[in-house]
Amino acid sequence: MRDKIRWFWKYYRQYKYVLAVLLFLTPVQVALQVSLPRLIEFTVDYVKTGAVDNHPVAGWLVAQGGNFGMSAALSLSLSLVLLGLVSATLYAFVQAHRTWMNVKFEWIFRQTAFEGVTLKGPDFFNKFRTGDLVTRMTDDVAEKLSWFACSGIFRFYEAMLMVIFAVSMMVSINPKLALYSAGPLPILIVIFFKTSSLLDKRYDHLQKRISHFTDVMEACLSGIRVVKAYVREQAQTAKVDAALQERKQAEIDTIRTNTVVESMYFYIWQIGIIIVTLAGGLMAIGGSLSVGELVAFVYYVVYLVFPMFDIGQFLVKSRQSAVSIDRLVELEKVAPMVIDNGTLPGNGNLKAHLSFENVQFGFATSERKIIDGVSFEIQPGQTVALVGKVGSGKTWLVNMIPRLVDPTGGAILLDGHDLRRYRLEDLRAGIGYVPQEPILFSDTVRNNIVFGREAISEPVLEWAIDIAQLKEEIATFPKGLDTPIGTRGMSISGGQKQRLALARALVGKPRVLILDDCTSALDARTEARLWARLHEVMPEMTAVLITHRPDTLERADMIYVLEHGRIIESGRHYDLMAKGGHYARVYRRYQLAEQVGNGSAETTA
Amino acid sequence: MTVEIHDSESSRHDDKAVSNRQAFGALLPLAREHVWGLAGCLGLLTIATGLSLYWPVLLKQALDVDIANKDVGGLIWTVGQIAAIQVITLVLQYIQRIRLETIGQNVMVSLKGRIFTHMLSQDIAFFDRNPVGRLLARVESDTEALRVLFTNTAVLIVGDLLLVVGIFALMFHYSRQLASVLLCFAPLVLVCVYFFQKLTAPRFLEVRKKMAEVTATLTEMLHGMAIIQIFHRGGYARERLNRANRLKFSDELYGHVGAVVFFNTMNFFQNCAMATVLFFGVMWKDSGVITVGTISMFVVLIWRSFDPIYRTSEQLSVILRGFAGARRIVAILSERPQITDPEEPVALGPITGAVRFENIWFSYGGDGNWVLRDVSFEIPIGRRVALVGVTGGGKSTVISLLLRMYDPQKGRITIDGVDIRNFAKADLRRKFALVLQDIILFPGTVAENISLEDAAMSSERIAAACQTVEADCFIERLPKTYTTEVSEKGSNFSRGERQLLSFARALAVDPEVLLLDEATSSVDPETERTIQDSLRKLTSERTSLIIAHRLSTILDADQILVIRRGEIIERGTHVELILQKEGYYSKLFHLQFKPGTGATSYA
Repeated sequence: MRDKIRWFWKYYRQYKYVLAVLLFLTPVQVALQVSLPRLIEFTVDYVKTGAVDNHPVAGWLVAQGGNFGMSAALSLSLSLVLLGLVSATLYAFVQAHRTWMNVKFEWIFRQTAFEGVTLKGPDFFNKFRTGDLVTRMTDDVAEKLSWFACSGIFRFYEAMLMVIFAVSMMVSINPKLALYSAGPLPILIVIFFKTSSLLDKRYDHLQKRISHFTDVMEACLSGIRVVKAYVREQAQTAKVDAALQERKQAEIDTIRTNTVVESMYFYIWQIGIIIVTLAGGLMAIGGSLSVGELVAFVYYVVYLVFPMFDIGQFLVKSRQSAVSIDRLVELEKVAPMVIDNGTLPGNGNLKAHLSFENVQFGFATSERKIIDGVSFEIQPGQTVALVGKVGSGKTWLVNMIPRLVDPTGGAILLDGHDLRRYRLEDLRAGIGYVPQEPILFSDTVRNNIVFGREAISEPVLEWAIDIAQLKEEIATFPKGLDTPIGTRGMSISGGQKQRLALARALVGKPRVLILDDCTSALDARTEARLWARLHEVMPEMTAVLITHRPDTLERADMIYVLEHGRIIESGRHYDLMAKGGHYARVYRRYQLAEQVGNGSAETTA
Repeated sequence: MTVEIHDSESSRHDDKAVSNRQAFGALLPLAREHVWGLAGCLGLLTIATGLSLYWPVLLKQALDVDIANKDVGGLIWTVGQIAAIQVITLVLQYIQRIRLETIGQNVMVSLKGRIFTHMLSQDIAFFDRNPVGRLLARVESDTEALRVLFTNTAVLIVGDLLLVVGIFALMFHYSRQLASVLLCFAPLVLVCVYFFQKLTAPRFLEVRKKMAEVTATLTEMLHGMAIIQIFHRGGYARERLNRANRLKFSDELYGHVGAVVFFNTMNFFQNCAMATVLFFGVMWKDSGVITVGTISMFVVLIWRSFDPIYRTSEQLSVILRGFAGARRIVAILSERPQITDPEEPVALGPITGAVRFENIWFSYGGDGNWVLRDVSFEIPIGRRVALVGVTGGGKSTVISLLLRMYDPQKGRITIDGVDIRNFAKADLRRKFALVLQDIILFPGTVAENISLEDAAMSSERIAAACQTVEADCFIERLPKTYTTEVSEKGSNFSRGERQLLSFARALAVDPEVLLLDEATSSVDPETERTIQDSLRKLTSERTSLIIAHRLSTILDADQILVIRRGEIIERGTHVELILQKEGYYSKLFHLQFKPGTGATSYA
C-alpha cells in the first residue's frame, strides 16, 4: 500500500499545481452542488406556502432581488441559474484537470518505463519478450493504470466528500428521514462487490471462448495451404462454426448477468426514492416535513447513489492497478548490464588500437561461458576476420566492442584504456556496426541512415550512401532520401536493407567498423562492388569482420577461428591454408558455398 | 486476448471503394429474417418506456392529492404503484435487452461464419496479400463494430426518440404553457449535441489509430533495441515514442475535454430548465395552474429527458466505426477467386500415366518477374522425383502450381495428358498429399490433426499411418494417446514429433502422389535418423515429388532435377549427376558431405 502511494507520489510530485486544484476545488464544487437542492426546497415551499419566513436564505435572496426590482420568482430562479453556472463551470474545471492528468499520466508512465528499458542488457530482453513488454506499456498503462491514477483516486475523493456533505445536509433537515433513506445505500457497495466478481467470472469464461474461436480461426488461416491441399475447407468451416456457437452462448450468458447487474445499479436507487416518497410523505402528512424538504431529499438520494459506484469502483480498480504497478516495477528491478560512468572522451583522435585481454563472458543464470578466455590485439587500421560455427561466440565477442555487454572477466582495451573508462556515448560514436539481420525502422531513408545523429553533414551522408552502393537506387525512390520505408512505407529488398544498415554504420565515420556477416542478401555483382569500395575505405578504419566470403578472408590481416568461445587457430589466410587445419576445411566449404548459391553456406545446411 | 488483433482501422481493403449504401444493401438481408424479433423488441421497449414515464405522474399524485389531503392510505397505494411499475419496467427491459442481444448475436454468428467461409474459398494469392492478423480483424473487430451499431445504437436511438416524445407529450398534457417554454431548450441542446459530435467523434476515432501507432512504435523500438544501444541512439528511440505518445495525447485530450465541456453544458441547461419550471411555478402559484406536484413531476421529467443525450455521447463514433466495418466486410465479401472450377469438370480417375509439367512459366505478381522459366518434367506413376537447389530457386512453387494454388502464366500441367484446369480443384487435390516445410498443427486432438477432421477416417487407419511412420512410439506415451490435445502451435511436441505427425497425416489419406517439402531446420542426430527412416517408408513404392534439402534423402530417387533461379539446369539420377565433377549438383553434394567438416551449420 505504502509503496504504491510512493510510486504515485513520484509522478504527482511533478504536478503539484494539478494536485492542489483537485484537492481544494473539489470540496468547493461538492459544497455548491449540495446546496442546490436546498434552493429548490425553498422555492417549492415558497410556492406551497407563499412565505419565505422559515427560510432565512430564501428570504434574503428574495429581498436582494427585490432591491433590483425583481420578483420573488425571478430572484429565486436566477439564483438557481447562477448557482448552477458556477457549479458546472467549477466541475468542468476540475474534470478537465482530472482528464488532462489521466491522459498525461498515460504518456509519462509509458515514456518512463520505456526509457528504463532502453538501458537494459540482453539478459533483460531474454527474460521479457517484446509482446509482454508491449502489453505492460500499453494495456497495463492505458487501460488499467492511467485512469485510476487520477480519476480513480479523485472520484473516490469526490465521492467521499459528497457522502459527507449530502448526509450532513440530510441530517440537518431531518435526521430520521436521513437514516431511512441513506441507511440502505451502503448495501450498494456490497452488491457492487459481489456482482463484479460474478461478472468477472462470466467475462473470463467469455474471454476463453473468444480466444478459442480466434485460435481455431487463426490456425486455419495460417495453415490455409494444408487446408486447401487436403480439401478440408468444409471440416474447418464446421469447426469454426462450432467454436462460434459456443462463443455465442457465452456471450449471451454474459449479457444476461450484465443486464441484471446493470439494472440493479440503475434501479436500486429508485428504492431510495420510494422510501423517501413513502416515509417523507407520511412525515409531511404528519406535518413534521415540508413538501420542499421532501423534494430536496429526493435529490440527495440521487446524489448519494453515484458516489456508491465510485467507491466500489475504487476498491475494485485499486486492486487491478496495484497489479499493474507491480508489473511496471518488475521491469525496473532488472539492473542494466552496462553502466555508463566512464569519463574519457573517446571521439576524434582515437587511434583505434584494440586489445582483448583474457576476455570472458557468460550470463549469471548459466554455468556455461559464452566467451572463455580470448586474447588478441588489433593494430590501428588492421582488418581482422572472425570465423566459427553458429554459437561459437563470434557475435558476442564483437558485441562487447560497443559495450552492448561487458566482459564478465578480463578486459578489452581501446588505445590502452579499458572500454569502461570511456564515456559510453563517445565510445559508441566511434564505432560502426552492421548486424547480421539489418534492422530498420519505419521512418524515411535519411532518418534510418542518420539515425538521430544531428551532427552528420550532407556530404558525409552522400559519401556513405555512395560506398554502400545505394546512390542509384535511392535516386529511383519516389521521394529520394525522404521516402518512408518499413511497415508504413515502401517495402525494400533484403539487399537494400543490408546496404542501408551499412550506410548507417559508415555515416558516423567510425574509427572501428564491425561487420557481422552482413552482405548475404546481396547479389554477386553488387557485393563485389561493395567490397571493393569498402576495402578502399578500410585502411582508415580498424575493421572486425565476421564473414565467410573467401575474397575477404584472403585479404584480412589476421584471421581468428573460434570454437566454444575460444580461439583455436589464428594467422593469415595463406599460413592457415598451408597448415591445413580447421580453417582450411572451413574455407573450402565457404568456397563451395559461394559457387553453389548466393554466398551463404547456411541456405543448403 | 491471447491473439493480438490489429490493423482494424488501416486496411488494404479499400473501404472507400464501397459506399455506405452498397455496404448496407449487402448486409441488410441478414437483419431481414429477424424483422419480427426486432419489432417485438421495439414493442417491449415502447411499453417499458411508457410505464417508466408513469411514475413521475404518480409522484405528482402523491404530492398534490395524497399528502395535500393527508390521505395515508392513498399515499401507500400510490407508492405501491410506483414500486410495482419499477419492477414491471425492470422485467420488460430485461426481456427486451436479452432478446435484442440474442438476435444481435445470431446475426453476427451468421455474418462471421459467412465471412470466414468466403475467405476460405479465396485463392492462395488472397492470403498472400492479406496477413492473417488483418483477416482476423475483418472477422472479429469489424463485425463487432457492426453488432454494436446494430443492437445498441439502432435500438437505443429509437427507444430514446420514443422517450423524448413521451416526455413532451406528458408535459403538454399537464401544462401546455410550461411545456412550450421548455421546448425552447430543445434546439439549443440539439445544436450543442451536433457540434459536440462533429468536433469530438473524429477525434475519438483518431485516438484508436494513434494508439495503434504507439503500439507499433513501441514494438519496433523494442525489436531494434540492440542496434539502438550499439549506436547509442536511446535519444532517437525515446523521441520516436514521445512523438507517438504526444499525438495520441493531444487527440485524446481534445476528445475528453470536449466531452467534459459538453456534459457540464448539458448539466447547466438541465439546471436552467429546472429554474424555468420553478420560475413559472412561483409566477403562477396563485393562479392554480401549477401545483407543487406538477413542479416535481416536471423536474423529474427534465432529468429523464437528458438521459438520452448523455447516452448518445459516444454514439457517433460508434456509428462511424460500424459503417467503416460494414464497408470493409462488404469489400471482402465481394472478392472473387481467380482460380475456379471448370463448368463441366472432367472426371479424374486413378492416374495411370504421368503428371507432366510442360513449358511452365510463372511469376507471382504476373509481372514477368519469373519464378519458374520454361520448366518441363514429368513424374511417371510409381516413380520418385526430387527437386534440389538453393532457397529461392522456385522449388516450392512447383508444388503450389501442381495443386492449383496458382495458375501458371504460360505452359500447362497435365495428368495423363489432360490439363489440370479441366478437373475440379477438389478432385485434383485429393490425388495428392502435401507435407510442408512449416509443420502446421491445428487446435484439437492428435487424431484430429492426422485425419484433419475427416469423420469418415477410421481410428485404425490413423493408427496404422502412425505406425508406418513410427509416430506411434511417442503418441502411445502421451497421457491420452490419440485424444491428447495439441496445445497452441503444437508446443507440446518437439520438432521431430511434429514432423512425424505431418508424415502420418499425409499417409493417412493414402494419396496417389506424395508431395513433400522437406524441413530445412536441423534437428538432433537421433531425431534426424528417425525422420529419415520414416521418410523412406513414406515414399517407398509411392509416386512422389520431393523437395530435398538433405541430399541423403534422395540418393535413390528415380530422377533428380536441379533448379536454379527458376530453371532446371541439371537432371538425372544421383550417380549420373555426381559424375559431372564441375556440375552444380556435384558441388552441392560435396558441400553437404565434405568429410571432416562435421555439422552442416558452418556459416
